[in-house]
Amino acid sequence: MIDYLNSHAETIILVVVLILAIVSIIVFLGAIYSRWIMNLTKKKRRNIKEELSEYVVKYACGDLAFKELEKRLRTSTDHQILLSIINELSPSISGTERDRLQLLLELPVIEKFFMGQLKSKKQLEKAKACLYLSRLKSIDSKLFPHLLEYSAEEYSILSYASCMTIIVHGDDSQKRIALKNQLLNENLSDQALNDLFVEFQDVSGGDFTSEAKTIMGFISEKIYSHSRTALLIKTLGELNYHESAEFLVNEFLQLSSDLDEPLVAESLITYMPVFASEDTESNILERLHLVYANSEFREVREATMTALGMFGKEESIPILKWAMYDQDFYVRFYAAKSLQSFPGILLSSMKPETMIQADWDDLIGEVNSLNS
Amino acid sequence: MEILLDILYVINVLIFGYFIVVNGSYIILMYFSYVQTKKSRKESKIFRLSGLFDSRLYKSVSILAPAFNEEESIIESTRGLLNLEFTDYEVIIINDGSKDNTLQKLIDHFKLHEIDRHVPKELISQPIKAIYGNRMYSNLFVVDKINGRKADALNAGINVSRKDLICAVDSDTLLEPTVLQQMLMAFVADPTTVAVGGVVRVANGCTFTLGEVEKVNIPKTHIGRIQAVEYLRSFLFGRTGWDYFDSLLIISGAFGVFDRKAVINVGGYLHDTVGEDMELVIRLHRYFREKGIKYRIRFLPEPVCWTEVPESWSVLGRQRNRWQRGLADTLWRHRGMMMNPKYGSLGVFAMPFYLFAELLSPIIELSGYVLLGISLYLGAINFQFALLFLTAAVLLGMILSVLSVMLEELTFRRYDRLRDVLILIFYAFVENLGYRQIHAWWRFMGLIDFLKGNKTWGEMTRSKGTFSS
Repeated sequence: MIDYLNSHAETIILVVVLILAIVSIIVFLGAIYSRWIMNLTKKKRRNIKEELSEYVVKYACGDLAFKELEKRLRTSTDHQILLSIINELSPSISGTERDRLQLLLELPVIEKFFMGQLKSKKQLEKAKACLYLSRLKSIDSKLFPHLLEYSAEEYSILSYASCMTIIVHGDDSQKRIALKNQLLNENLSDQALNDLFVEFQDVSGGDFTSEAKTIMGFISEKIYSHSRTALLIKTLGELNYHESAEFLVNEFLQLSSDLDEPLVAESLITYMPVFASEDTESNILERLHLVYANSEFREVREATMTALGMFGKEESIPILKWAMYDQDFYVRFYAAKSLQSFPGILLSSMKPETMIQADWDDLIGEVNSLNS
Repeated sequence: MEILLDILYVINVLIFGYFIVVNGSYIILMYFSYVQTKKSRKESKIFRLSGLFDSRLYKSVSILAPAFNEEESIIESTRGLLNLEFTDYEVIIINDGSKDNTLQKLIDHFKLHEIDRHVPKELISQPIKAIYGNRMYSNLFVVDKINGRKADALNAGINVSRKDLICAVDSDTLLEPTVLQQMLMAFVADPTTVAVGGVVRVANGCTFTLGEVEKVNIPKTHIGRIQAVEYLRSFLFGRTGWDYFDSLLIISGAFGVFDRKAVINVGGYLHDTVGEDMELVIRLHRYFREKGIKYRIRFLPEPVCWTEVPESWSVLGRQRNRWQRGLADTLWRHRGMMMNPKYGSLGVFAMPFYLFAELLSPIIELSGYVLLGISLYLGAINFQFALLFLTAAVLLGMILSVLSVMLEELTFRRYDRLRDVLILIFYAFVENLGYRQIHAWWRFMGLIDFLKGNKTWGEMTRSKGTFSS
């Protein structure tokens, strides 16, 4: 081996160096060439974009017929640029103009391309095609079986995108199945689900009854993880589904006193002050006072103290004072904050005997910092 | 004598082979980086974050910016941090015992006053002297603490923070406004994500207006331009390539987002190391793999932070020396993971690669030059061989650097002018003649200092007002 290297090393290295030199030159020239080509392409695309933008704006405003715009679209680059113009304009316009713009997405060339992508072997391409479909005014009902199948995929990006399309175009039952698939998909984050639920509400057109019913239905099924159930409750609360008030209050009142995890109870307690009615308020307060104010879970006690402050009932004051002895800082903090919201309560005189002065200063200081 | 000459000859050939293998691996890594960049850009367009600005259903972020003697840039960079487009975030500047007017400048500019804020002792840090805030800037907090170095400051910041995610940044960096939304995408796309790194680009030469980059230019100095190429090669495409293999070992201390609970679970940043950023990432890998918990550590090529790079040789030398010590320290601390199949591709592939291609490379590279000279002197090789050897080694480095500039062209194209790209390509070539050898020397000295137990940070001086409009 050594003999071979000794006798051939120079040749080997010469060959390697020659190859590298050639590659270096190719890379160098390639970099310059690619920039030159890209600059040319950029210029060409900019010109096309300027021209097409004018056509699109005229078309959206009704000053240009669809046929005339279609005649201008000659190459695949034209169609790509048209798509990017539509993407840019869509969020900033509404009404008839938006509807007309949406019609452009249904141009045969564009539609054919994405329909092809929908059957691609690459899941990411399928996801992009799904999102394209979600932007159309309507889609062929034959596509739903595919979309529902995709919504059950483990690959979260595809399941998310297909579910988004079903939310926009599907009927209630299809939406329910697609959302259920997402709730069961462990690869999909709670935040991605938030996205879907926000869209779910947005497409409802103002009457949230059916949407609220669907989400309440999920909670009633009791088959999802605690984290997902808590998310569903938060969705009802955060997105102001007042239709679910009675349901959530009942869920809270029926909640086991002996909790095995804090998430569901915490989220229910958080929204009780928002959804409680005069009839249910006393029952809720009773459970908060007797059961959840001394829950073994810190998060539940914190939520309880905040809720008691929001209810603002004097009968809660002894519970809040008692919570000032809690071992957890934030339970004491929320209790103090809630106490401060009661008229006539002088927080500075409520230092628990067992609390050292430094901790008390810490607590009072922080509460006051928020108000200063 | 003949045996010695034979040995020298073989060593030369082995070193030559090392150059080919290492640079070849980097070129392969760059290919995967290109694939990953394309994929990542497509994926980032899928999620909409529809309710980000009108619900509390997304993860919130605490930005932690340790500052030590940063009076020149602290106001501009803090203003930049306050201008981010994100709904629920707080900015925590940690004044780590600065000897200059960093704290006073912050107090005066933002009209801060001392506030009480409960600080749970979840991580060990030097005592906090005071926390400052102002209701006009309700998401800005300044923590004044006793000096304990960067890791200690970050731990103090984590204790003070109250959001789901922490974003560790250097106080002399500038984040692009949509950066947090972009970083959040990784956590939206995969619920098991515990850490995400973003791209650090060279700010020198660029112009900034109101905390935003207005015009991207290349640095004006030779040393800055060489670093611009280096940052493209190592920090952008190198790390994106590792992300493809799910084996990212470094998230730059200048810009990374972490799950707060995960960081607390592993004990936060380590105090007695100068490579606290890499060490934390490897400890996260180790923790989750040993516990058998599904997790991901990602690198996204789109979110960008701009950082001022050193423009003096001595400061750059100290920085690279420190980085090498940090790398050595981290690999030594976690040597049990090396070649250990229990840690998957990370242990079997990524860590050995870092050992041979990064940590030991200055030794091999410098030995190569020295042995080449000795071999030539003793006649073990002839002049033609030596010249060819050097040319091949240098050309490989050139190809790698030029490829990274070209990849930038094919993907992000942040540099508008062809002139800038040509200059970068020129520097991609010339960095291999002189700078690379000096760089190898700094890193070699870094290894020596590591063996001596040197854990000092080294003084870093900043130029004035890179981010000023």
